[in-house]
Amino acid sequence: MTTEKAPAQERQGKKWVGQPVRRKEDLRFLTGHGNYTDDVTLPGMLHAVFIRSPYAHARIVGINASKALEMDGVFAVLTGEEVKEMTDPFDESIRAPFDQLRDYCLAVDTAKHAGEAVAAIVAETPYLAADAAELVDVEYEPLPAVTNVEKAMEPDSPKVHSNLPSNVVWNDVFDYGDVESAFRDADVVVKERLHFHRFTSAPLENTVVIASYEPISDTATVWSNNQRPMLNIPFISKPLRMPSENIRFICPDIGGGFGIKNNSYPYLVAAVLLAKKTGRPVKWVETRSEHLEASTHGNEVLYDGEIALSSDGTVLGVRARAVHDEGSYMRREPIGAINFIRHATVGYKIRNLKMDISTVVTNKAVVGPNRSYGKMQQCYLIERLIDCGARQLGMDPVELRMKNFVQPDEMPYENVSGCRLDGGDYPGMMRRAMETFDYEGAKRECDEARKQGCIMGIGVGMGMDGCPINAALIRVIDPKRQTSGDSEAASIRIDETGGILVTTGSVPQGQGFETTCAQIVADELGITPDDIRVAPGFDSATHAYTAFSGTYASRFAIVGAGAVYGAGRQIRDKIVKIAALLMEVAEDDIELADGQARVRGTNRSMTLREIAHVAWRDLARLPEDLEAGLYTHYVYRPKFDMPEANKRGNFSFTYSYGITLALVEIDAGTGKVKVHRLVVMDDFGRRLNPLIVEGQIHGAIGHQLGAALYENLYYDDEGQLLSSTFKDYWAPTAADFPEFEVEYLETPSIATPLGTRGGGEGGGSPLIAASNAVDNALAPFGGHITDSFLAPERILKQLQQSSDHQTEIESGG
Amino acid sequence: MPKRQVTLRINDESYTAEIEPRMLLVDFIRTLAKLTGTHVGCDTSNCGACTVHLDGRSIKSCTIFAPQAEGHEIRTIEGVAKNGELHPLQQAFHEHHGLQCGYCTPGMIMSGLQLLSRNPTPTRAEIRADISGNICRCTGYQNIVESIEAASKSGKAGDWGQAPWKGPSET
Repeated sequence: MTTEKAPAQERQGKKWVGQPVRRKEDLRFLTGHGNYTDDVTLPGMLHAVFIRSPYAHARIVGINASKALEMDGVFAVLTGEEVKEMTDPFDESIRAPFDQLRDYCLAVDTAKHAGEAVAAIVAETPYLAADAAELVDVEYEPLPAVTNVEKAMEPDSPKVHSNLPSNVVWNDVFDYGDVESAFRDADVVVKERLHFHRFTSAPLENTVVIASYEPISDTATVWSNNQRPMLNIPFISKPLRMPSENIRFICPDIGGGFGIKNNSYPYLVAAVLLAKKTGRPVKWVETRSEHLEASTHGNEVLYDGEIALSSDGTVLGVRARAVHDEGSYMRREPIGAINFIRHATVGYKIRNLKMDISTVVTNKAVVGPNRSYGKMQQCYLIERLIDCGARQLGMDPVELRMKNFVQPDEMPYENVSGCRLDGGDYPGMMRRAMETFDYEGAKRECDEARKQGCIMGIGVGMGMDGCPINAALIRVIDPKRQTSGDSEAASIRIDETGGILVTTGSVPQGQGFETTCAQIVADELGITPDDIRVAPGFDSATHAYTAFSGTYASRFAIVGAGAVYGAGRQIRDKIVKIAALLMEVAEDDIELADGQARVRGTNRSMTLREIAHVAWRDLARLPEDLEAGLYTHYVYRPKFDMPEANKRGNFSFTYSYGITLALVEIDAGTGKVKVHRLVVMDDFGRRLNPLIVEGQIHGAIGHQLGAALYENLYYDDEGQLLSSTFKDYWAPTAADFPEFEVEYLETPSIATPLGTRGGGEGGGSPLIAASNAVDNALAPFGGHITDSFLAPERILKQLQQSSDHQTEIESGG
Repeated sequence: MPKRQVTLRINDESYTAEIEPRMLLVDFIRTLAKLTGTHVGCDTSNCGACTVHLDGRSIKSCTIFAPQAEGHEIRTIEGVAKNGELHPLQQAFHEHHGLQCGYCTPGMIMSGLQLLSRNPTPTRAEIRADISGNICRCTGYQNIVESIEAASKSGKAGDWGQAPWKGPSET
């Protein structure tokens, strides 16, 4: 069984990069031979189950596991008290005194959100562990919980962390340009209160962790579907009090990540502790309800925003107070809260911007990276304000955007927060979108439909996705942090039989890296992707990596591809050097094609296999200063700088962007939104594999449309998550989506070696367009969208409250 | 809970084990038959990652206990390709990029096989309705629908390999 090569007609000009090559990894997934973390079993492995708090906030009075431990086959229990003894708390990014926020792998002293793990139990089988968990008796003293972020900010609010002076654990103001003058000089000022709702990309595979521990050498091996192994190893080594060199991290195949699988590190710590305690490998498999209750939620933000415009539609300035509802711990926050910097003004020339940002802890699940982490939220703010500005001015929302776009001949363009947009054609993309959508025709269709009593609307949205991330962003929060830049590594080995193995530190979760890496190397070496094996998953013992390795922030197309490309060039150069030496010609006379090194213009050649054999085995034929073997390791590092003192800087390297146009209809009886048409345009620069990129875009649309129409993580006043299973959290099915119409622009990035921009997160344009379209549909009824979740009951209420609607009912229309 | 011996027929092989009667079929398949291609993605039978065929009909293997499957023929994703040849539906998923992380894929293939055995020329809307019991988070479904439609149109349908659909009155 072999993965078939792409048919000849797709292989134009023998170049692989840029071709829609079918994926090498498909074969194992199609036939049920994927290797996901729960497919891994180890001899003597035990199974863990977590006992979780039913209360949003409660003091843990005592844990009695004696009955559970009496059962045959139950091995050990771990409690927060033991964790407090055995481990150090996780590091925090926020400033003193809030860095005293205590975060461990189990709840210590108090449980701070419903579903927080308070204890763990380990048994021979998963069923037995679940039975034993029910016998663990936890006594709680319920405490007042705070679930409303504005209430949490009040001085007399219950405190989530009793040792902190406030629930407002971080605040900062970002003041760019001259916002006061902008608002003073404005002809029109529009104020909006907006809520960006909490949801999750909810990958289909839940978190799984296996840990084994070896006491004599004090070493551990962790298997997990985590996206950032090389940040998390040092991060967990501190609580575990082990050198990070002693922890091996293996990521098998991952069933979707989307950012959600970045922050599973508390579970990694718990698993290692359990392995230590029992002397056996321990596996934990998260259930779907645990995943929704206690893994990671996307950023939830309350905005009070204002936009200042002149009467001709020029946006003079934007200011906003943003309050982030972070849940009970900060974990990687406030990175999501300050990620706005990268897309501060999306694609517009807005030179005056002020953001007053607070992060607030509440008794809810923890917020963290979720596809388009903090980026989609900023795009939403700007785009909704622009749309509201257009409505106030009586201007077409597309026209207003066109007026304010950064023009292609102004690229590279440094936005007001210091981010350098690396190219793109925003007006050109908008024009194409309008053409494909038939914007004028759609407007006419809408007007006609409204006359017939249908509630229809058109919306436009722009999203932006800055990738990868300059780690110096953390210095904006804490200037003393010694972290900056980004890097990725790749290795290539050609063994003496000519077998080729490529490894990178990128951790795939469905993005097809095995295929794109093979395409890049195939081009450099004059071979085909089928001739190359790319090591699947990630293993810190065998893969090339750097401290930043992982897949997040849409980085692969820049740093992963950059590293593989660099390694490919390096090994190519060495092959050419050896071939030239052995065939006694100049290096310039050698070309690589069809698996051979040929002397140009002659029929003299050597195969890669022959060259590799000499390099490894026939060393007396090599000059002394040439390293034996055919192996290369390359580190790619985009040129990132330190941020400037005034919180400005280039925090991404490339800025991909997209525009969506949507046509929606609202059911007058239920308030449900139906998307009739969705046209999505994207520009990711040069696409390494158009097939894979298209798949990523479809997926991003799926997540964003799903979030807008169906997916909402909502709590009751007592802090109970009401959407904690797939029965209540509506992960959309194929029947819930329209057909997507997707097109591309491909304006190469001037910043990267292959002209690529990061892709995959999507920037938010479908979600934004959906909001704007529903707002447009409700406008004739005096309705208005202020929440990114388009809840049918809220829409229905707006329709029912409008006098026009009442009149229609009365007149029987 | 007292155990009992159960023998299940999966992909034309017999698997015998002593199990607690409450063991779910999906757990038997994964941990005792060691066929890990069938996946678990939820705890409320919504996601479809556990879809297998029982006597040629799709079922969610998280919704029945292993002993209930005794005496029936079970087919999992591992039993779809024959003699090293991909089934035309698997081939179509490969050609049309109908999978990304691969986690929903076995369930999607099993559902797709059932759809095409009952309705060899479905419309795209019919495809969408029929796979609405299988959640995918990666693809937005677009290319999955594309793949199933392409397989139905390919003329290489061949043997869909499944038992003919018996109406409810005949089961």
